[in-house]
Amino acid sequence: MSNSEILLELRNVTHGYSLRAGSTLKVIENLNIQVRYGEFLGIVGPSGCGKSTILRIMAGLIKPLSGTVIFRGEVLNGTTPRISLMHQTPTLLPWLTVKENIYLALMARKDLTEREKQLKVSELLELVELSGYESAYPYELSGGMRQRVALARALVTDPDLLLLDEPFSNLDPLTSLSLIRELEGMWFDTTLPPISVVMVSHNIEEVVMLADRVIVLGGRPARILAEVPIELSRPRNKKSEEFYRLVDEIFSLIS
Amino acid sequence: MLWEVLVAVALSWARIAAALAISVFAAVIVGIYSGISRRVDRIVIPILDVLQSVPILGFFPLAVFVLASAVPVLGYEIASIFLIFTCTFWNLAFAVYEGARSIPQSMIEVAELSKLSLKDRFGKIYVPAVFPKIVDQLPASLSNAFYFLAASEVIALGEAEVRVAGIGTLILRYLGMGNYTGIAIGLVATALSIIAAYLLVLMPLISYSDRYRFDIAQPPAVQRTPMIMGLYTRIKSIQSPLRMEQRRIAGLTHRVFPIQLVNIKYVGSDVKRLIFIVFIVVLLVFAGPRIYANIDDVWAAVASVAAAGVRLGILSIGEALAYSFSRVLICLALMLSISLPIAYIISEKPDVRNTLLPILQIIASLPSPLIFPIISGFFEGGIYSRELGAILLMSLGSVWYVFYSTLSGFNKVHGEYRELARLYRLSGFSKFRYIYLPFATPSIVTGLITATGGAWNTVIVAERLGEGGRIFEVQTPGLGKLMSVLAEMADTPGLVFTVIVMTVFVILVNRLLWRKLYDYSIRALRIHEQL
Repeated sequence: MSNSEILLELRNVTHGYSLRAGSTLKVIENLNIQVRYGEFLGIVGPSGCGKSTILRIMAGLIKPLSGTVIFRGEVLNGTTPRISLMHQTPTLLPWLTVKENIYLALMARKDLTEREKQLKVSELLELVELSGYESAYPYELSGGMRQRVALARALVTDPDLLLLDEPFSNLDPLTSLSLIRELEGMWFDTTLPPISVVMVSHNIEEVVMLADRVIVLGGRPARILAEVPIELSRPRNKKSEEFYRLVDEIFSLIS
Repeated sequence: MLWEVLVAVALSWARIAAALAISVFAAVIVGIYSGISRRVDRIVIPILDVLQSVPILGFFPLAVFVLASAVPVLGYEIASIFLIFTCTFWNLAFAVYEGARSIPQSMIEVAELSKLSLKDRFGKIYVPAVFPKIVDQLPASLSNAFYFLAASEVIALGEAEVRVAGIGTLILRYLGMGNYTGIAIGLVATALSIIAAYLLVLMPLISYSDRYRFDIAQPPAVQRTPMIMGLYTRIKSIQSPLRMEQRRIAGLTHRVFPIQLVNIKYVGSDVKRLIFIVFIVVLLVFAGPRIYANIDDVWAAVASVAAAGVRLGILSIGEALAYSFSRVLICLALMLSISLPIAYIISEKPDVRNTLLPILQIIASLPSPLIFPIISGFFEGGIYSRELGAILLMSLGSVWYVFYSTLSGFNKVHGEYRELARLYRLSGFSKFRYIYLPFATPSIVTGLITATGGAWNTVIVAERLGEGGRIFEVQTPGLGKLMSVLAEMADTPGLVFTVIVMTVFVILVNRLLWRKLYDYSIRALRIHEQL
């Protein structure tokens, strides 16, 4: 595979936390992950295997102890507006309206005029079907709506890469299903950002539903147990035999 | 002289240690009971609120008449420890109360379901939950104890004045003699002893209590903790994996404590009610007849206090109150403008935190009223510089309340929100304006409330400070100055009257201004369940 096809790459990344005694507890060791252009990559693994740490390294929030992150052919040092991260919880500021919360992501941008920023915010509000809720406060919204505001905030910067940290795990099954459908719809619309998505989850069904390729993590420190391509046609049917077989396969890899 | 100083420092520390130990013990009992029982809460918290507003001078009658005269030899020592206790207890009690209140309801239900005995509830849930809160408040208590060190070692009311041996009274004596070498040695010895206490006791405690707190987004380390600590970290992380934890804890308690046949909850609440009734009955039986027998004395005392009010003049008391109140307000503004930037920097940079915080805590503990007479020369120029000196001295006494609660407010900014600021590369100002300041506002207001109480107490020391003819006082009126003069003139009714005025005023301002501001900030920030 040539380098031009790779959007982001982790090369020999090792990370861990220092213990009291001075030794280091390694969470991930010598990890190599490539995120390709136009790909929806799923990462699954048991709780506490370092999935969220990997995502934060990809976002430039955490500098790994060793190894490099290559984004668009260059070494990534710190955060960039081209990479967005959506947290597990909506992480909205309660004292800001829906509109202000989304605007927060553009606040520091100097390459956009005020008018352009406002326009982008309205566009995104429409995209996540929250037009009319501009001046609502987060506490007035349902859990699903809050997570949609968070999605709008993550997308308003026109990122090349969207990182999702268990985006549906705090929602009820019905709400999460409709949000998955929405995300899938957006993914099909090629005029919209992002180019690629990385979603981390412990819910295998969710991942099989959305991803083109699934990386299965396990062990301590975490390593790649398997890589499973998902070649089902979209929209995917949860009840189909193939779907069930893939979920089962990944499940048996983890447990 | 050195020997004399060392003995005095040791004696003062013995008293402070005793007072702190009693304070922690009492705070755990009172705070936890108020935190978990609605009924106790409704009675105790308003009482604590009133008592913490009473200036240290207000406790003198109690200390002198009840403790010093009732116990023959050790009476004055006990009275002194009691006065220190009145400087160290309140913030601890409120911190424990808050800690007990923040234990999730589900955790208490688990304890009930698994029929934990009262002892194990305290040992396994409540005490671990409030332990970090206590450790956080110990520096504040300690600095308060040292601030009022001299005041708590001179047990004076009326003609009777007894000075217990200690570094506070020793420095006062040197001050009266003009022995500046002695003062310097005394202060250095005090400072060194405080530093030693920090290094040997407080710092290990703080790092020990760190095991209890952790943040999900940025784990400091993966730790192997003793079981009790582990239970506490589980309490904190209980939100999502609740059911699993419930099973684990239920299993754990069942292994340790076989199922008990009696349902503790009902027996427990009956016992509590019984204790409460017995307490009221005992109070009525013992205190009632005494009050009734001496009813004439009681009336005479009330009459003399009222007469003192008339004698002092409502107008001049009002004027003094107004002056002192403006000093308190200026003092608050000053403390806030110092605390906000420093606390912000410390909460942002962990390495700065580790070096700067211990230094600040040691400075906080130095007894500024004892240092002040030495540098008071700088402030004797005129009306304004004297005002500045008084406000500075007041600020030194209570800036720590504002500082620590501002810092704890900033520390409440969850890791994910910090990440948000980095992801969107917010400028320092926007980060402060939209994330940090709103998050910390409730804590800051709480700190201001406590600091107001503290500032009112320090008014007595700050507006008039002196010993043996060397008096440093503001030239304008002030309630604290008035109280300190009344205490010196042995005008007990006048003193009691001004103490009541101050207490009532502090409580009124709390209720009418600060609580409103707190509620308003909660509403304006729309802080609901999601934080």
